[in-house]
Amino acid sequence: MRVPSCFWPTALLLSSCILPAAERVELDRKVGRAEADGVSVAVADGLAAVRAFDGERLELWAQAPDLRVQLTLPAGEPRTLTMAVHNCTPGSTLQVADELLESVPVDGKVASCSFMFTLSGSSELALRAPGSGQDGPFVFAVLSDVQSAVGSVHEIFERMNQDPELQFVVSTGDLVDTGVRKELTRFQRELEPLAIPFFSTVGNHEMGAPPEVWHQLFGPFNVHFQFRGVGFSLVDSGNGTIDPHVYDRLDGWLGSQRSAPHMVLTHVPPLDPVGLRGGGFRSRKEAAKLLQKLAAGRVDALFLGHIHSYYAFSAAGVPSYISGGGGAIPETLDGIARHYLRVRVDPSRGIREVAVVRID
Amino acid sequence: MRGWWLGAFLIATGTWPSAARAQQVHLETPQLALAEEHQPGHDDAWLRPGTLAAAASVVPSFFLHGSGAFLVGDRKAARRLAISEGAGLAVLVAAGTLIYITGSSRRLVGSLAPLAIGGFSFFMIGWLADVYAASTGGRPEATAPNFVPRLEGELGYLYVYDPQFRYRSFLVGQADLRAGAFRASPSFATALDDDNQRVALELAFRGWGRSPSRVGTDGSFAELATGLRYHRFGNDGFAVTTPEWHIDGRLDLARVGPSLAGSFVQGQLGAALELYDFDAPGSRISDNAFGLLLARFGFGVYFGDGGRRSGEAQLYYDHRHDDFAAGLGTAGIAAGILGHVGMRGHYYVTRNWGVSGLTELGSAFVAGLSLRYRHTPREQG
Repeated sequence: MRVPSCFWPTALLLSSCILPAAERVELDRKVGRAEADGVSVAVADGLAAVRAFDGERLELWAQAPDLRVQLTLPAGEPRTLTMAVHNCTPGSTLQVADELLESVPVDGKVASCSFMFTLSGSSELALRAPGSGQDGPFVFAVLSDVQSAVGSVHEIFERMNQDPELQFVVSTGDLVDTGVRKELTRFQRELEPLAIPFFSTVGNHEMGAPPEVWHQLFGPFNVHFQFRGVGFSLVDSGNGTIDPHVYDRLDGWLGSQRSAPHMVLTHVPPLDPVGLRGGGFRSRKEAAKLLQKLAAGRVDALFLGHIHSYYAFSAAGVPSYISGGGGAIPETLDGIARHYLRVRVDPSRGIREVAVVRID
Repeated sequence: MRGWWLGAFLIATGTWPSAARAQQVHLETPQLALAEEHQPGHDDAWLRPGTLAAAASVVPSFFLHGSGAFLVGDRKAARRLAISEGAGLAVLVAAGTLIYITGSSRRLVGSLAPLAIGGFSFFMIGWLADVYAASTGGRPEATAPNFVPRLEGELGYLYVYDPQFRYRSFLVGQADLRAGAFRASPSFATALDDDNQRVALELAFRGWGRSPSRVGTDGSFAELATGLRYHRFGNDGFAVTTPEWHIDGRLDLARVGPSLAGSFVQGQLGAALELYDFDAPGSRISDNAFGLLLARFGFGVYFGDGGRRSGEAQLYYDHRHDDFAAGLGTAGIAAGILGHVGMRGHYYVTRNWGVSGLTELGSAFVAGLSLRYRHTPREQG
């Protein structure tokens, strides 16, 4: 059957309008994979971007405190490799077969770890953040919507560095203005003095550049990891919608965290508490569907950005927090400026405290 | 995107071929004195209305509304369109700037957002109207029906491609029951392939314009309306009840200038409150009430002479995010903000029976076709 000439442009238009995140879903499937000089790398669940790999030196950008890395070598060819993990918790260890390696800091980058090891065959390596295998409460920070204030974000990081309890920062995105490579590499340079890792999905302000840029520098757009049994799902809603394939992944994450605390982060609020403003999902039906999923999945908290203020509210019974205090043009007349959230969570009891830390 | 709009508009409304036909008839049939008389002053015209004038005006008109009307000699419409563009842009820029610098303040955005959409609507409608003026030079023979039926209804099929939901096919129906200046409009949509149903009732009072009991000069009107919707998503575990209030209006553009005869603008502004009922522990409806801005504007054209064979088509933007088409998927700072675009129309092929169709694009693609009926007293048909 002959396809009319107008079919493909129309199909492209419809797909770009209706499934705007499809390209990012495809890229997520490729995160953490590389091959060089006969050696292949696969980071489990795509939790780290392979920034460089030449068969001897592997450089990763981590998007989770713990990583599992499968290295496949040609049979009978032992190799000595160096693995540098950026955005890594200082003091992390690397399990290589029966050997536990201590990390060596990378020059000038507080949250970077380096390891050197020799493999005699294919092996799975396990990077573990200090304390990740322990029980007991811990504290993490939520920071989003830095955008054009990247030049002063170091002030926020300095405040975070004064808090010894913080384990890591999670973000719903809008780290920069448009998402071009120059901005994102600048942001990663600003992260260098931060003493803890910073895990993020994208916001709408990262949509101004081809998705390959984020894919190469940060890795996954959608992330799920566990820390002390507490689940963290960072979900891409950069276009005011979540791709259907990501919903499938989210269903799995919700299922795996049903009996343990679960934090979900996404940039655009499904429903803006100020409804007339419409700063939420492009479809209220989809928003309700997501909230119903999160409620049925017994999510402990939903962290959101996009709106440059602070709101705490409940949607579908899910405690929800909008925190867009990274420095982007603030909402006025709301009594709050730059800030981040400091969240204490107990793996056996859920969230114990959500506190606003004001910078200005 | 703009090209798509224009192409769709010209093809859908038939102004392109009809303009060419109008020129041909104009040359060959002397009895069309009315049309001749109505044409904007030919002495002032740079181009005859038609494809060439439309093509020549489409880009300049985007920047300076009225260029198209000016090209075909309608200075009155040109001046008014330019003024409306200036007013629309001024409101859009002022409201948009305030929204930007206040970070969409919760205390101001309820007032500023409708202004921004209103300004944008003035801009877009003025542009479309100007291209219409250039392409047709006005179609005075095309008017709104010269009566308003007491009963009008339709029943049909609606296809909805929304990747987030299982449904695709709906049976849809709607009726307009009018008594004097009052209207009651019940409607329903029920999925044929999913557990999804929507029912709604709208009540309206027409304060100005033609009604079953009032003679009007054209199709212009203003209405106050209130409504209640209930939409159940059985397989997805939630339902939403939406009370809403809005004002609706239509203005026949023949009032603006002769080159715009046969076209109209239509708008809606209001607010709704969405009350979500989730099938989730600890979820209360009172915690799940979210406001919704209702804003809609469109540019349309009439077909026929307002008698038994007549109809209309309309291109529109609808800001509502809770409809089947919901909002467009845009990148950047506009993510999630825009509503959907659409095109709808109907045509009565006999005094009582006709067809209607619509297509919309937002987060979903929507297309529908319905059989339409109106009860027409013989003296009106």
